[in-house]
Amino acid sequence: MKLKRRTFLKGAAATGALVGLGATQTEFPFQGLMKVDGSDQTTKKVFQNACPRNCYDTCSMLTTVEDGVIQFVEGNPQNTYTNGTICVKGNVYPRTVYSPDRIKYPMRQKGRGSGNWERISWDEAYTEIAENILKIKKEYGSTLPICLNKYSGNFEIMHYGIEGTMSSIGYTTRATGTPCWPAGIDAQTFDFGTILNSDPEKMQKSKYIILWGVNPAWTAVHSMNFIEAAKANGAKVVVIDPILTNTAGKAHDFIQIKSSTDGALALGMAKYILDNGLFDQQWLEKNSKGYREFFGYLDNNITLEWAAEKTGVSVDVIENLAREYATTKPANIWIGYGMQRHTNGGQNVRAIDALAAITGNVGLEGGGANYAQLDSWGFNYHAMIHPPPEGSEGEANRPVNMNNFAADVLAAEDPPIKMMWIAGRNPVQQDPETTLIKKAFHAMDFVVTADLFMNKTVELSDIVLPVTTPFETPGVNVSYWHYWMTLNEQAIKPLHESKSDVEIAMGLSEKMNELEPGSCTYPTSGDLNEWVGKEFNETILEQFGMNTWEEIKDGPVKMKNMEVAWKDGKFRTPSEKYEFYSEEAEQFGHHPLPVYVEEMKSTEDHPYRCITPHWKLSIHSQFQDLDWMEAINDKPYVEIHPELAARHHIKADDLVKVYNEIGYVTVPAKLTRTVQVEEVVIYETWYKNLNYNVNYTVKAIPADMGEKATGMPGIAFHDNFVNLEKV
Amino acid sequence: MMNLQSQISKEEAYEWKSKVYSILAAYYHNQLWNPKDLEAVVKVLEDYNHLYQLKMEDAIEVIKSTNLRHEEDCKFDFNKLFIGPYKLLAPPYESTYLNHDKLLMRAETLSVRSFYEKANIQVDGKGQIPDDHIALELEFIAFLLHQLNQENELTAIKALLEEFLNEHLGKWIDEHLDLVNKQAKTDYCKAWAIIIRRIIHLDLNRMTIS
Amino acid sequence: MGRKMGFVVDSNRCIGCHSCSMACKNYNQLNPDITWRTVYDIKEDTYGQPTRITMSLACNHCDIPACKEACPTNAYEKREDGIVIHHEERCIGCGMCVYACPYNVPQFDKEKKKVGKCHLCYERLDNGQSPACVSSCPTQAIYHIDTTSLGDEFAKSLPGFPDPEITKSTTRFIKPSIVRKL
Repeated sequence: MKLKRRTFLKGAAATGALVGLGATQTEFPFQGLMKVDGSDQTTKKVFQNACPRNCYDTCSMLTTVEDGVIQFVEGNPQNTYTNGTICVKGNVYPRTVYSPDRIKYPMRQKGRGSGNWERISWDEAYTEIAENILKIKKEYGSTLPICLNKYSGNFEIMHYGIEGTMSSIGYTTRATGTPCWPAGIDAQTFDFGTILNSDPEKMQKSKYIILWGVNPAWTAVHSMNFIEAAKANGAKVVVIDPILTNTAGKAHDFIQIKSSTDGALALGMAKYILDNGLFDQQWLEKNSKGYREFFGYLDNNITLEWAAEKTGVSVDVIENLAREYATTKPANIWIGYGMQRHTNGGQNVRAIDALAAITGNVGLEGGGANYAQLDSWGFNYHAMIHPPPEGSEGEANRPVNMNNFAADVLAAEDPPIKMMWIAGRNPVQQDPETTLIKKAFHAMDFVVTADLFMNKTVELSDIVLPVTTPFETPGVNVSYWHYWMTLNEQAIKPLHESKSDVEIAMGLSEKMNELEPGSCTYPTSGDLNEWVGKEFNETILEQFGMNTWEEIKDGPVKMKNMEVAWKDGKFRTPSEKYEFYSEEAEQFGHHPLPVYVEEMKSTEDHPYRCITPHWKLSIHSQFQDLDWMEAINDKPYVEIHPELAARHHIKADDLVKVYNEIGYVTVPAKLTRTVQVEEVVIYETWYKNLNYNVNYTVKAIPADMGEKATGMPGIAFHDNFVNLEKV
Repeated sequence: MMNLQSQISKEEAYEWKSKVYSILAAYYHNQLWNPKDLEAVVKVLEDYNHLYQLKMEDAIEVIKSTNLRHEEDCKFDFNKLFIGPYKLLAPPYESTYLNHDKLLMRAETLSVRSFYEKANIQVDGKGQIPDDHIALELEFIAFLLHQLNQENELTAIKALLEEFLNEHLGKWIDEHLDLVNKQAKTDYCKAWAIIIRRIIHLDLNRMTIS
Repeated sequence: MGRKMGFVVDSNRCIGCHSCSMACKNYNQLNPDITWRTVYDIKEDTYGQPTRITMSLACNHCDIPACKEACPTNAYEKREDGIVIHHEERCIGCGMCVYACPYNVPQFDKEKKKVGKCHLCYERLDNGQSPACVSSCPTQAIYHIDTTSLGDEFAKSLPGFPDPEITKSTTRFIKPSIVRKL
């Protein structure tokens, strides 16, 4: 048989352009390779990075890069708060960057939720997104049907470019608010004028530390050093929490309180302090407004017996705690976010603030009622702030409640919401009421999600855009707890086709202006390193003691004069005093005083409170799905007190259905006496290969506060009542 | 068998091989979706099969008979195996097989990079696209085969080619294709796995390209 | 008397964060399912009052290493400074050491078909650095020291830790103080 050489050549010619099948060529038709002269020198360099996750500690990191590849990530000792170490999650960062499972290319899903994805180019992605935006604008006369839901997946300052993308196309609908901490923010805003905590490194100056509903052993590991240092200096540490946490395991005393009754304990303590004359009259006279009214409220309404009954903490213990707290100076209270995730959470924080104020611990080194701070965040937000195009319809963005997102999206009218853009969030996994969230996604015409990994939200999107890790794009970051600022250098090139949010904004802007000139105001080009510099202004440079922004390249810098919050006694309330009596609180529908508001109670059908706190190996849906994390823990569990377990004939490791009227989860039981009998605990986490999500049972119940400072109330995550059934 | 091969010159054999490896590279570069291109590719593969008696006519037939209606399924299947956005069912990267870390950009990747550098080649997008992506490894082989026809330093290039095949692609291709065979939902992707295995094994088994 | 390099585990400071375990994996490039340093929850009722406390354990670099005694190929070496090293190139993966060690320290790597274990980052020590776990601990709960210098204030065992006398473990513990529940 004769070879059909001509066939080969003919066939080859047809695909010639594609793979170089044409007749003999002298030039090799390169596809993904290219010719070069000589090779680069091997290089080794250490870069500064700033962990951008939603975490107290916001570590300053050092990244060693060799031949363009990250070798390892470690702590930067120049930052004296994180002190040269990073947490368990930071240690797995290289596995995020180099995971073969990262989303690598822009992709389009044929049929939302079908799992049928096709790879598209960035140009195709921009075109499809731009065409959808322009179509909506044409049909509805404005861009309000486009809704952005972006939040805490990445807090690095340049990532506000995503909000900038939206602003630059017109007025849009925005998921507004913050799920985690707004009740406490409002409470402190009514009391002090804003949230402001003392430098946490100063905790070591405390002689008495109350860790109130906070678990730094899991969620702010570096703070444990300063607590230990205080202990070594003779301080006493008391933990108040519904759960005997790992932090409680490090304390001298642990007070197990019924969830959501913290205000009652604080008011009981205040009553004791008042009755025994242990308050700081001088401080109150000089610095506060309405303390007499507050004392009147305590006199008329509060007894220790009532507080004991409410909280499950005995009168003796309350008296002793109050006496120790009021007489040991300086005494520091760290108010956690967990304790304010209730329908009376804000009021409870106000009651605790009041304790610090009446004892004169506010403005004292090693004292205070410390919650969080935003004073070190005074950047320009240059990446974010862009004007709407000329002639944009409407006057402002339309808020929808991030904390009741699904219902608000579905209810939006005039115009309805038709398109969603999700960035730095995973609402289908993390939002309450999963079933409703899915319904909202399915009601959209078009959903774009920018993310690193496939997750439940990407599954319900039409287009997914691959984004950079912190090591692949420049930026700058600060913490909401400590006062360090860290430069985030681009340590390596972005893997695959990933892009940062600012680059995505630029690319989309170019496409929109190509399709409809003037339809987007976002710059279409720019050097991202220069953009970092544009985030700085005179004030922030002065605050951090820098002459030029480039000084941050030498290492992390710390904001000056933040050792003691409110030392100057200049409160940012309308009266410029600490306000026990707050007219602003009244304007927002609350009692003007820090009074007790009844906690939410269980029902006959759902008799147990289910608390869903943060997990030590994850931040929301980040990190826990990585293989090294799953090697430590690969399945969820529900913590049940043995007494309650016995009531339901549940033994250790039995599968338990935890349910209420909106949904259920089935998880193995872990019996432990570290939780209370009437409360069960499930950590909010997820696993790569398990169809598990505790949010199927969590309702979007609003906390009492949050509207003033963040636009929307928070979520009362821990006011979730369930029943149990052995499977 | 020998008869057929004796009908073509060494140079022609290199040319054929280079083109065939270019086809495999194009497949993994996600570029072989145009029916016309496929038609042409099938003809080349048929001839190559005939030339070397690779017994892959059934697999070629599957590709030939895949019509447009099924093409979407094939594409989705291909994406689940090699592209994303889900966890890849058959990652197309050497280091995910040979490095215990199962990550990208490992020592194996850098070793592949140094092979490229020896031939004055680098990845277009170096540092962003892992050098040991299968499409790039196949393209590199095609390039070296092409050089055999173009340059004088035949011995050096042959040595490099052999070493690369045996030290890199040959070390992981079977595990990769086993995964494809196990995870692929369509006959189309499975057929390609057969073709790729036969073509590469031909050169692995002989240990020399000649 | 020779040196006995070993770990001190301060369970009073350990918060159970797993950073040590991850840093070890990072530095030693271990397979996902292999850990040379593990963080354990101490049984909650060990001290009567239920509590949550933890201890972090790696190789105990024993004076009489059971792994070394059991190894048929002399893959284990007890260094002059007391560190017990496993030489992978001499290991045939028979797993005798895995059975012999009372602390479950040697780990069989299914892919390499060989055993591996903590070697106290001896090459880092020789370079004047700390072991990866020690330098990564956010609360300074682990350190390495010549344990011959340590007095009785350091415990040789914690509840749940196998009898340290059999192999003369060099690990020393600072006992956890126990929270008082009010």
